[in-house]
Amino acid sequence: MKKKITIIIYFTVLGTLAWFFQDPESNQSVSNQSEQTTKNGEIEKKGNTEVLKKDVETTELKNNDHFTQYLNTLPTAEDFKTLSYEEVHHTPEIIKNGGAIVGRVHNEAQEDVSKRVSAMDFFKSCAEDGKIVPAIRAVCLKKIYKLIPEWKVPVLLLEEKISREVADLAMKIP
Amino acid sequence: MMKTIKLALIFALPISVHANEKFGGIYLDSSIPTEHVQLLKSDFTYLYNNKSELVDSEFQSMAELSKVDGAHMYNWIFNRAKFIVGEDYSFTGRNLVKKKGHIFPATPVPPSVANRMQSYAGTIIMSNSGAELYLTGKLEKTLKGIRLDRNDVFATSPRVGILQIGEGLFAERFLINKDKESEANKIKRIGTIFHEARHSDGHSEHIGFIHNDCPPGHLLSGLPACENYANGAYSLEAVALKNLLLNCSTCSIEDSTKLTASIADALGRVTLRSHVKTEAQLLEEMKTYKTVIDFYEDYIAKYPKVGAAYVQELERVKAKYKECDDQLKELKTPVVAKKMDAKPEGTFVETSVEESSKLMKASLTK
Repeated sequence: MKKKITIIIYFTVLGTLAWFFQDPESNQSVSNQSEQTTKNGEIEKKGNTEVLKKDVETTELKNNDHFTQYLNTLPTAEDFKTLSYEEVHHTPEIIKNGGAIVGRVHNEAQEDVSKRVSAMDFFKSCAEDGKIVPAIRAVCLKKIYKLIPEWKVPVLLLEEKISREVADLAMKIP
Repeated sequence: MMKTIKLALIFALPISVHANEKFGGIYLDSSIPTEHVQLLKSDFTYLYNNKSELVDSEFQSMAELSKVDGAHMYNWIFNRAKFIVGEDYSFTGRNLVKKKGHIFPATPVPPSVANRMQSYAGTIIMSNSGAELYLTGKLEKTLKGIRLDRNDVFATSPRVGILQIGEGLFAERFLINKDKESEANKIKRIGTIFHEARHSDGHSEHIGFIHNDCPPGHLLSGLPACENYANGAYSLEAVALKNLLLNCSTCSIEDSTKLTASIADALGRVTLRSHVKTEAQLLEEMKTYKTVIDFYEDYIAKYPKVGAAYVQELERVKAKYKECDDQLKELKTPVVAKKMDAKPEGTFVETSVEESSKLMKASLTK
């Protein structure tokens, strides 16, 4: 009996050690795969290629979340209601800050190709969002026009969501 | 004791105050903090040395420049901004000088001018005090001016070129990035100077290219932060920024986007109609008013005694309906932004590009 227990413990320890010392990449794949399976709840077992593909999608999703947070900080008409005449005579700080956010999204996607689809989605949401101030929406729309040929990322704009004012402004800015 | 205090004051003075000086022919008052004077000098030097290899044709035509290069751009500014004072400079008391008997041109003034001449509290970025002195002087039939370095400078034209700059022009929260000396920040400040310098132009009802109230539907509705000309201060600031941005060699993507947002903001202030509502918005509003009008007309007809109290309300809603109808008609009429004659009224001396360049070169070789 004692011998049997010793053998079981021996194989258990050996198995655990083998699991720890296997190729770290495949370990990563397994963990990713299980994560994906949990998140999507539809894939039982997939090969390495599919796991990698999902990794990119997960990253995209994370970036999307990241850029959406940026979207929520863009200036709205409501934000302008609290500003005094002195604050609006020249470009208000909130417009500059809005420009900074749009510029940061552009910059991040310029440096990392995998973020470009998410960045374009951000620009589209910004350009079409009636709550955001026209100046910033125009900057977003202009980014789309300028970056589509460069990034080769197509975007379907909903024309009815883009006012004449925003479309005209976008055409006048560099 | 008194001697000690006097000595302490003498030693303390050079720390906080610098002397009045001229840079490139532009008078920089001692009320401007030393750091800001240095930045202004650096900005003017940047502008003067600007090559502008890429030219925005709209900027050239709007500023009426025969050539777009540093010397011509600086000359444009120089003719409209000859004296710059700081935020602490007081335009009252001993600094304000007046002279009776001056004959102003018999031209009309903008209807809104009387209401516009109020002072505002808050962070000053920049303002054209020369144009304001000329206009208030014209209204009061008194030539007004200020005392600068023991000399009286009278506003015989909006082109007298007295600008007041404040902390806001250099404050980090209004700048493009944290480096005050960066090219992007220089461009931003110069854009503001172009804006204020434009207020030194114009005559009669568009004297000083005075701002108009933003129309209903505009983000800044009711505030005097719009213009209905094609070549006013906001338009000029936008095209000047555009031209300088086109030639910016060190602007990052973020810098450029912030400057572009500023350009969009300035261009968004050019409003050619009395409103910025769309046809769909107006039709929707009219539909709503119509239902209310129909209800009140029916109610008053059915119950004349009780309904009498609502006659005034019916008239108010009818007026709103008419306003929308008028705006709809206006919307359907083609409109093109009018370029106003930038020629200033009053008496002033125009300095040539050669003369202003000579002054700048003298300052740079000092």
